[in-house]
Amino acid sequence: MNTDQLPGARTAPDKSQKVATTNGSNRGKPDYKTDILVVDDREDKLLALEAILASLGQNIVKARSGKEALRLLLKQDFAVILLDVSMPGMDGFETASLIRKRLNSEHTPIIFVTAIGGSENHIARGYSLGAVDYILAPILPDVLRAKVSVFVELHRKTELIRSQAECLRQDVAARKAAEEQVCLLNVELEQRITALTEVNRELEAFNYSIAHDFRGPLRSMSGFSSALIEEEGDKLSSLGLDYARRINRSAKYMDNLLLDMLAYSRLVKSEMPPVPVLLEDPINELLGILESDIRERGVHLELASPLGMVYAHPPTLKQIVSNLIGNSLKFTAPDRPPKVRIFTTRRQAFLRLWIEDNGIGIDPQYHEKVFGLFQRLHDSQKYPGTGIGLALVRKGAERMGGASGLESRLGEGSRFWVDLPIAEDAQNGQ
Amino acid sequence: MDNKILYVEDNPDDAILTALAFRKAGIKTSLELASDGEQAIAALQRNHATAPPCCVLLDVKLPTMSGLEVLAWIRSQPALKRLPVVMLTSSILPGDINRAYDLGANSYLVKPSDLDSLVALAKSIDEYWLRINVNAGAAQVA
Repeated sequence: MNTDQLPGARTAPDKSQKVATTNGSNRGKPDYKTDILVVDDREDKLLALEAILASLGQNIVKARSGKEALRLLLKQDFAVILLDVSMPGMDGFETASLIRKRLNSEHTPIIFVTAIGGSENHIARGYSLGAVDYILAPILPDVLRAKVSVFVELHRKTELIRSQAECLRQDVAARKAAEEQVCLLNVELEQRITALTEVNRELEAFNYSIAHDFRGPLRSMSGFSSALIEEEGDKLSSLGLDYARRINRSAKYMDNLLLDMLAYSRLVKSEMPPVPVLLEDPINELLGILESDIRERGVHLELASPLGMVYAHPPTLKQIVSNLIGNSLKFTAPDRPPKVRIFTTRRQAFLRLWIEDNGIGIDPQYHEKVFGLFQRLHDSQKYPGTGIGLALVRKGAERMGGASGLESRLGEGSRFWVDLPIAEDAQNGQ
Repeated sequence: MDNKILYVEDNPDDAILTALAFRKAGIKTSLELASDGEQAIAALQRNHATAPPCCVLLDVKLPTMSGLEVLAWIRSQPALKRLPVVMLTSSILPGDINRAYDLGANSYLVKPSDLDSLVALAKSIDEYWLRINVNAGAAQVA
């Protein structure tokens, strides 16, 4: 009666232990072994069934009684159960009906194995208890294997589907987590934008303060030193007059510096919607303003028309062109008549505007430095300037979707260039 | 009509320099100085029936009452609707410029930082707001 106390029964719990620890992720894999429960009170029949099923390559779990089978079913599920009908104590039918009453084994396929056979009633009772098949002794090994392998395959596929469903569930969970992460980052980003907007507003107020409050005292210094020179100059010694002129010059220089800084900060923050611009327009306008300066300095100027049309923000383009042409007129070499050539070349979707001079040139090691803010290579006595002009060129070009640079060697003149998006469509439309 | 300009300016340095620039520009019209908005309004209320100014030069940034508020008050007075008001200020904020014109300013001039430019500016004020406009006003009155 106490069949589960038999020494042979000890193998079963061990096996179930092993199955229980099997990683869920292995269950769907093709080499995953399913468990087959074989229930018979007779050791010889158990051995015979085990031998027949061995070639299927699955785990065979043996139980010597209905009770033991039920206990094993508590711990794990099986691909199929081979159940002997006639066992002492709890017989196969009783065992089957109890198996069916349990939730986790209510669908486990049961194949009855019996030598009784023959009786139609017997078979009918088996089916009514949920048997999926009936095998009569003497057992034909091929038939048994074929029947069992169907359920093994079915179980495998079910497990595969289950594991895929699990994977999907995890995927969905992971995606949900990722989405939450994205939401969190968005909130963080918005907070940073708000903080940056606040900083920008403060900077704007600061710029306003520079424009208004700093320029006020400068206006006084410049204005009163001018008044001193012009109104009271005859009462001043030549040294006193020189001092007054120095004050005046410094105040004007500082005012230019402030104006350039303001122009730079406007360039950094303001919107600049690009429109098609004929490059000749701002350049001719500027050359008109500089006409007397060009004539006085004896500059030979060459404008290679047509220059072409680009997408640009007109005020910014004017500023860039003004700074570059201004530089070419300023950094002239003392030993040769100054020459300035303005022309364009095409580079894919960009038009490159060149401003070439035969001036003092720039050592290649300073080519990047000159585009930095407040970078000056010369003392202000020789070549006056605020050190912002080329920074304005670079930032302005960038803000209009272009770029800027230069080719130059010390003593051999400079060629500054600005790339701007070509406005070909607009040109064709003209 | 009295030949007098009401000049509203809180910065004494700017007031002296502007007066100097007007003198250098050869403008004979006298400048009456008000150093804040209340003084400006008081001067206009006191004089506008008998001797209104021919023009107002108005700074934007003033203590307590801003130049734009003074401008709004001027335009709310039926008798002062046509009085030429020229903003003379260091504010280059687009917001200030647009608001000034919205409120009825006739011109918006940015204070130059050197005396020569200030003299040139005084001349242009004289040519347009003190002569042409006054003549036009006189023609209108006639």
